Amino acid sequence: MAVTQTEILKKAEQLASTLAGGTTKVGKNVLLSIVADFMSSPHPDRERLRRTLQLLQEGNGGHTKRGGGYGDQIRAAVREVAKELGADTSDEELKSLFGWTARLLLVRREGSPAREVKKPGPWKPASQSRSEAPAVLPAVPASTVLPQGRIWDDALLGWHLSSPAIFRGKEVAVCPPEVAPPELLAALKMLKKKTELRCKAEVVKALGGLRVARIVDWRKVEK
Amino acid sequence: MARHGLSRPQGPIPRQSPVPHDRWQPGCFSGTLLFSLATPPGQFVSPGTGRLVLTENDSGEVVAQQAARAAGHPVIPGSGIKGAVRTVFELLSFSCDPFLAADRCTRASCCEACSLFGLLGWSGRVSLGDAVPARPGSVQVQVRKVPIPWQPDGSKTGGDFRVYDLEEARMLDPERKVWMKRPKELAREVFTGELETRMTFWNATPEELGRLFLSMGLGPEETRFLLRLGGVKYDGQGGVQVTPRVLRLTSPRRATLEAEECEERCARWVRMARESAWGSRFWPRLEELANALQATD
Repeated sequence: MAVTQTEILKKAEQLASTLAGGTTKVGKNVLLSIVADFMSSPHPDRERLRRTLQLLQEGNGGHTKRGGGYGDQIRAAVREVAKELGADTSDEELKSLFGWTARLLLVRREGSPAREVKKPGPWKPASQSRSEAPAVLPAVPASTVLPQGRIWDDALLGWHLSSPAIFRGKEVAVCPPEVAPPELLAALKMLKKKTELRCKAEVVKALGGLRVARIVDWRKVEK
Repeated sequence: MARHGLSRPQGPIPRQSPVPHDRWQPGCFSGTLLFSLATPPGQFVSPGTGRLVLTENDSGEVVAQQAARAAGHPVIPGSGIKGAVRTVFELLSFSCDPFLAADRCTRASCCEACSLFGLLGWSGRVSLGDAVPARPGSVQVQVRKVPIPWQPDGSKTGGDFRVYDLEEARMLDPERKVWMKRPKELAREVFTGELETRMTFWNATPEELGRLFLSMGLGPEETRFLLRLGGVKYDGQGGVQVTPRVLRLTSPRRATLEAEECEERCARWVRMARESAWGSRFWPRLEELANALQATD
């Protein structure tokens, strides 16, 4: 039975909500990377897509091993797309569904804040287990870490000012190399992942010159 | 080391009104250069599409990252080739940073790279078409395993430009404290063989053409390098050997130069670039770039 465009759009809305609302937020590009072959073919092969999904789920090709959240997105997208393949919809309707879903994922991303704001909390090294209570550390005023004129919309690391120095006009606190704890390296990796590209480049450059700083806290900075 | 950071010499960005591409200028050259792009032994080129496709190789079905196609045939998009050449040209000139909004070139005032390659709203004087197989069957499509890409640490390689050499990607084994080759786990379609494409240029001076050819790795021995195209550069791949085949000039005089004549003309323009003021300033940087790009294990 033919499905109306309105119904397809409703289904797309549901699928987009599932993909964007889970613990792993699937991006438009990841969804399209999986279904692009199916969508661009004049004679889409549903079995081929099903086989692709199955192989991806089994880890074939190494795509689910990719870091930066990409592997998780692939897994989540494969799971949801596989469910849609089982539904009673024609190939053309499926194409339309995936197309609308991709569009909705894009619109949602553009409409939402650039980055998910995490709850402020003390930074924990990756090696520290979740059950361990984090040490309560003194908060560092945001002005000590904010580059002037820049709005940061994500969690920031605070810097302990045991040996403050000014670097390239930015207020960045540094310590001599010998005080660098192992946690610093993990925290820097976290910072790189969590800050937007321009901020990241600035910070990485600054740190490249300085190499070390002691981190006592990281926190969300409101606009 | 696989990744190198390079910078150009310090200096102001000279800007001037760009040379037009739509009116013939006296003393300048317009025409097309047909050239081939061949992957040397051990190299492949893999222009990605962002798609995952079901393919087959010796071990059966495999889901791989798809490489670019046009009408089903393997291609290297011309935009990618132009970008690769422009990057080298920018490194070898006092050019602007196109991504720096505060100090951008405009249609009325362009740096050397923007004048030649164009900018938003200005088409420039060089255009490159998609590279297609030179002959039927001259390009083989394979599925290879490549290392999973990782986020590079920008602080480890300074400089304004980052280039990769021909060395395979390595990682530090934290237990044994030794550097080892990164495991190759990611399936990706790759091309090997010979492709060809065409570069069209308008109102270019001999020096500009010489610099353009040098940016494609067509210089004398000490500055020769494989032009890097497509993905997997981090694993020392993507290198192609550029070879000029046919030069068709439409201005200042119509001429068609093939084989040795074509090579001789290209070499002459390269010599003129080297003997210019640009050459005295940037030749050492070109040698440094060639050394970095051609470094192997």
